[in-house]
Amino acid sequence: MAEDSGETKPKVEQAFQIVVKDQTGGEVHFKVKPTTKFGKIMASYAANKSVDQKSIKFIFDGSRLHENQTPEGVGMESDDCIDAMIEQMGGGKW
Amino acid sequence: MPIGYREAYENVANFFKNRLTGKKRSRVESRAAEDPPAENVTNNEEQTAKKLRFDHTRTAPHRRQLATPAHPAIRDTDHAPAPRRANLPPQSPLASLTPAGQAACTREYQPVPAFEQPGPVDRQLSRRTAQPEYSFPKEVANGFTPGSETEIQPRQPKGADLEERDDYARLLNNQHRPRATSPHQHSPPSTSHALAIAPLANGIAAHTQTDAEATPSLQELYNRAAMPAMLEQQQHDAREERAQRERTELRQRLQEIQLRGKGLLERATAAIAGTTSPKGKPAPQHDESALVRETAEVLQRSRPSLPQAAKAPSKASSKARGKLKAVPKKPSPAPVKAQQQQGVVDLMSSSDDEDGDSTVVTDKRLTGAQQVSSADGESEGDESSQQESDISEAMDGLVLPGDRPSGPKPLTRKQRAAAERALSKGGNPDEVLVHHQGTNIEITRKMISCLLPRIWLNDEIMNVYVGLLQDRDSARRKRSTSNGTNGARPTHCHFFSSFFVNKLYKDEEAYNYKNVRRWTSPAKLKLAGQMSECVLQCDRIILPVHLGMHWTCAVIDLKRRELLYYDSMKGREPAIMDALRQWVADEFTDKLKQELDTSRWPIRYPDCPQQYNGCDCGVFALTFANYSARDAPMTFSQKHMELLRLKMASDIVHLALS
Repeated sequence: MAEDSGETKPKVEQAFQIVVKDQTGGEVHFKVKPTTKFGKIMASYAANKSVDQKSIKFIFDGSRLHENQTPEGVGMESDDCIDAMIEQMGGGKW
Repeated sequence: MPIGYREAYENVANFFKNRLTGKKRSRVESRAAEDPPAENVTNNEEQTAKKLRFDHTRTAPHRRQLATPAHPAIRDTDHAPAPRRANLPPQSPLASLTPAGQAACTREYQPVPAFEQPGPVDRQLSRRTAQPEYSFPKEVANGFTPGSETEIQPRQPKGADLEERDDYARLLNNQHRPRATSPHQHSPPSTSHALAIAPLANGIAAHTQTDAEATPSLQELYNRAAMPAMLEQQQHDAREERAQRERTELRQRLQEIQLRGKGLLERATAAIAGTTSPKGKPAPQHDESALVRETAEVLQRSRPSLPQAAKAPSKASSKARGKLKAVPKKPSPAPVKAQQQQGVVDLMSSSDDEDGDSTVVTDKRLTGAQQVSSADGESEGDESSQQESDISEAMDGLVLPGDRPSGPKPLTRKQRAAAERALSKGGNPDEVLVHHQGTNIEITRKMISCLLPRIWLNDEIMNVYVGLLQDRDSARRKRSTSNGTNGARPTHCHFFSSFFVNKLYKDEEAYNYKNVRRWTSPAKLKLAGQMSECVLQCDRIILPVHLGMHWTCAVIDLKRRELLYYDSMKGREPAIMDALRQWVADEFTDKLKQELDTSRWPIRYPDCPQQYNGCDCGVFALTFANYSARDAPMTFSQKHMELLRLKMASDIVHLALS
């Protein structure tokens, strides 16, 4: 949870800051409303990383996030961290 | 010997030209003309001229046989006469034919139907007959020629084989054709002479054989022509027979089972009567209860657990419908803007509702998919009569204890149909087949297609299946609590998703409890379908482990205080297992505020079924998880993988384990 340099735009609404963390440790911070759907965060993250959105799985405390869910809906708090996981495939070890 | 394209072209052109001009020259002929075996012809001319004295007894089929012995491998059995030739009475010499008959026989050699494909020597024969320098008797003219003999002579087998055949021919000739062969027998047996007469003698031998076997060879020919059809018929018959046998076997088995079941039932009822009656003796009761158990087992085995599977998705779907709500609209049309200077993407100002319509669509899609999935289970019962489906299911699910000592149960028809429908090619790959509530994963057609044979499994399938295992565990626990305390306590299990190990240890290559600390909060556990408030109350924690390209299964046995690692490729991951062991200690500290030293918990790598390819490890890992959750012995192997894949597909589509 990297500390950010503070809010330049103090919003009246409780602004959530959400961190999306990938498996290599890279973080992207999002400022969202509690009612913003994750679909938007996902799309933005995928665009940021220039990857296909479907190839990434977003996990919050072990549970998958659906596009239509909101931070409020899953009981998220500010500065919570979402894990962006890439697809895992496996057939055998070589 | 391969010939060039040009040569082939010329040969074909020559052939047609010659046919038009009436000349009979074949390809072989023209090649022979290019490099004629000149000295052979001249050397043997006088010899062959001598032989003409007795050659007039030859017949048409005989001549063919005469030409063939050039190849030792080709005997008369291999070189069956062409049908038209074979129609001739083989033993009747041409001399005895009427002039019309002779003409007919002669005509045999001149027009060469394309489909008959006569040997090259036949063509040669017909050419030689047209050559004027040999003035053969009329009956010989269309038959034996010295050229045929001399030209093929260099390819004659030499030595003992030749002598042997010569002797054999002589022997035969003595028996059948003393008049024709007697001059030869009296002539001195010089080598060159033997060589010269070898084809002749062979021909005679062959002739005598054809005499004897003319009809069988003809029969054989017809057989050969009719071979494909006959073979097909035979195969068909064999298949029918096998199917019939299987059917009767199955019927017998069913009867046997019924008998056995009846006997067991009788004994069971007797036992029950014994226990209820006050005069029941205690000693046999024990024995009888075992029988009762056995009966129950047999009955349970013969009755597939499909009704559950059929009802489960409808329940799940109704739940899902209740849970998924569209977020209320709030129009504020501003574009998404990323605050790059701070590294913070601000989504505050943008509208939330641009997906409003798509939400509804998604909801529709979801309910549609759920309807489909629930229809899978329910509508089929309506289609056929209940009785019939019951019988067929009983037949499908029948497993005799002695029959199949190990391995998973075979698929029922409904399961197979569901799996095949889900795995069938075509259709929209993004079509959502099911949505699993516990793991919040939507399974699309594309995702489930990894359950096709020999395809690697992806994390979605792994995690959904693990979620289904969790559901089963909860259902069992519910059942056991509703039944009261008389039933044995089922194993309480918790299942983590495949990302747990990644977050705990693997991604950072270092143990980090903080990453997964909140994974086991009561709210999250409830969301995942775990009935216990704390994972440490469970007996077993089971999790699939992803190792780059390999799936394995780790089990933390809290009851026995040990850690098990199941790898279908005999691998060991001490680092991961250490991390898991440490996690138990930290979890104890964090959740239960107790210190627990887990450093002495053993990490075991038990013997487990191994995979023999590079694609089934996901199926193995899931099956390890499945069997481990039930505390069942690992009685499956590589050969069950296709079945297990289908079963998984069916289970996932039905959102319930069979």
